[in-house]
Amino acid sequence: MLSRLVNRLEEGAIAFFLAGMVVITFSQVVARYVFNSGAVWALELTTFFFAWLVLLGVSYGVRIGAHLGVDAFVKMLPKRYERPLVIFAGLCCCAYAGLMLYGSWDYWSKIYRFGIDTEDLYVPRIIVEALFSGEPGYRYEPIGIDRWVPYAVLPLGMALLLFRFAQATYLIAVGKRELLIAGHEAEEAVAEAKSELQRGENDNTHTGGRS
Amino acid sequence: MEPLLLFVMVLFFLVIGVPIAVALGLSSVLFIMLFSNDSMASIALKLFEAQQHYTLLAIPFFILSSAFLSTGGVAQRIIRFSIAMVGFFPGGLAMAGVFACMMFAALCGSSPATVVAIGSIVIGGMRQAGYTRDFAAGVICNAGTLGILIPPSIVMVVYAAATDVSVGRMFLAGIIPGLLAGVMLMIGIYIAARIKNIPALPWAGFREIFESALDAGWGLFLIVIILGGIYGGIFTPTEAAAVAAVYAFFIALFVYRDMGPLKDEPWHKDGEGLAQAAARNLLRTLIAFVPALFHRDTQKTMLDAGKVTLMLMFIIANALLFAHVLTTERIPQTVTEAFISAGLTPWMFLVVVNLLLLLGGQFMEPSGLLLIVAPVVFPIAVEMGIDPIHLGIIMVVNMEIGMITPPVGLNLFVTSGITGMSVMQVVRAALPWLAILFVFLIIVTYVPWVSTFLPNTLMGPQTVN
Repeated sequence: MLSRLVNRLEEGAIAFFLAGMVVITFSQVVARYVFNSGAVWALELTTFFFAWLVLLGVSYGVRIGAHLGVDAFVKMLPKRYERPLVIFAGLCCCAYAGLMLYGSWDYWSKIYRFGIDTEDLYVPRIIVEALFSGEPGYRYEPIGIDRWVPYAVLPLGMALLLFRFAQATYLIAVGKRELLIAGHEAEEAVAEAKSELQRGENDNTHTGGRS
Repeated sequence: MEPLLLFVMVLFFLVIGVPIAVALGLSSVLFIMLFSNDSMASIALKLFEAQQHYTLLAIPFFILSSAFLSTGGVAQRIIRFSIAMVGFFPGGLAMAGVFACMMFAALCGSSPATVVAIGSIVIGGMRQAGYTRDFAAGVICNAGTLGILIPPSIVMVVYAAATDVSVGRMFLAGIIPGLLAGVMLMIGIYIAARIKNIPALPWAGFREIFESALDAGWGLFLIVIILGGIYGGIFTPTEAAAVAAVYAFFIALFVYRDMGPLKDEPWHKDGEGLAQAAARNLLRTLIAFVPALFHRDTQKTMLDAGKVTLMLMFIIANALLFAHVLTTERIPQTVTEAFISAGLTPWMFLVVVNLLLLLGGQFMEPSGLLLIVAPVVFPIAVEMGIDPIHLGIIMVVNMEIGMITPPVGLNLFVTSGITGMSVMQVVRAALPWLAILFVFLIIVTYVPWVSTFLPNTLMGPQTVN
């Protein structure tokens, strides 16, 4: 139940950030040619969406085994050497994620203390006015968004990555998972095509034979 | 000797099965901890900064547009058009497979994806038409590598980002080599077909060519938008990629209707008047518009594209970190000095580059390899007066060949997967066609004109900064 929810959240976030990037960038092109205008914040927000997509997504990639690696050598070994080696590889990955988490936290806690603004991002005017316009003598002033807000994804993503690598290593150790990596990027598509090919050969109605 | 340790670490991690991205990142981090006083904070920041790179921002958009268009339905349409165009030559079906791979490459920047989409349809068709399995698999396995050479290509975007040359120039530069490689493969097929007496298909007629072209044209128009938009100065390559993604979404859901709420809704029903059909289609499209944005198929495509993006960007971010370590260790300068003082001619230098890339291509994902090799090789090439665009195309062609040479050739695995042959059988089947690609590599390496003619003619000569 919980894992289903987490799955939905992860997949939803990935799709959302990608869709957001496309919509913002496309709308900027439309705005430039149709309305002759543009928004200064668009580019920065797109790059932040991109960073969120990737840094939140890498841990999801570990869970579903999407990260590319070279599996040819490991697969050549006899089974009883294979597992210890893969576990060692998993520990290396944990070390990587741990070091990166340490570095991210170091960086993030610094910018949190110094309170540096992002370049072009402001709290939307509507929200600011809704909050403060009741006060007497209020005049709108833009409020910048601090850099630590978008950069929070760095320690967050690395913590998740560490968790997923540790989980994968554990699953390998207890024999519930075989490999950390995918041999090539099209594994899924190949599996689909293969099953289709077999179906096609069975009933001999395979497509494409316009010959 | 220290730099050598860096490469030894990467190789070690790769061999024991650590993901490529982590192998690059972990080696860099360990190296920095041992020999340098960069803070961990600045290293971690590099992972974030990879996504702030404006050129690299084009990558998720290109991946998304190809995710919408690399479906079986689009492959079918392209293959139909190819058969109509070149099917009547001896060995026509095989030629059509190559031609289809070339066109599909223009929609999708990935070689393995091209092999899967075209190969899973064409190889079966070729075997029914009496080709041997080896012939069919060998041809498609090789032709599929054109995916990264014919623009738009993600590998080219990565090269442009690594060396600060323009993406537009790289895309233009890939056109003539891409066509040349395709034509060379087709000539090879023609000769083989003459010798082996492989029959031709009947001439399909101009009507079929016209109709199939119209049908495939909706998808192929994508490349016109991208290239036309960039060279017409209408948008930047990154914006062009975003526009392409939106266009691909519309074509896939509302024109081809391979997925989404209008799936299986015909454009024209029997016994329906033209006005009636137009009204019905317009109405259905309008009603389905908002649901289409949130349809299950759309979500799945977004997620698939997101997966590929994060996998690739994780490698790229870590490769950038690795390249950063190389630069701070002044490795490119050291290597440059060694090369220059050894009195190597540009001719010899390019041989070395070829060998280096062919070797590296055995282990690495193309984008990652490019980011590591480019910072070392690029300054030397500039010093020797080699055109950066020319160097880029050489590198891309090397990556292509790396995909079909054992032990770790992606296309070999994919072809073996979709045909049920063993990898060794595919290697043997691909070998004669690989020879053609090697000749092609030599041409591209020593005839710079092939790569530089189009960009220099259309955009003015390249200036080296």
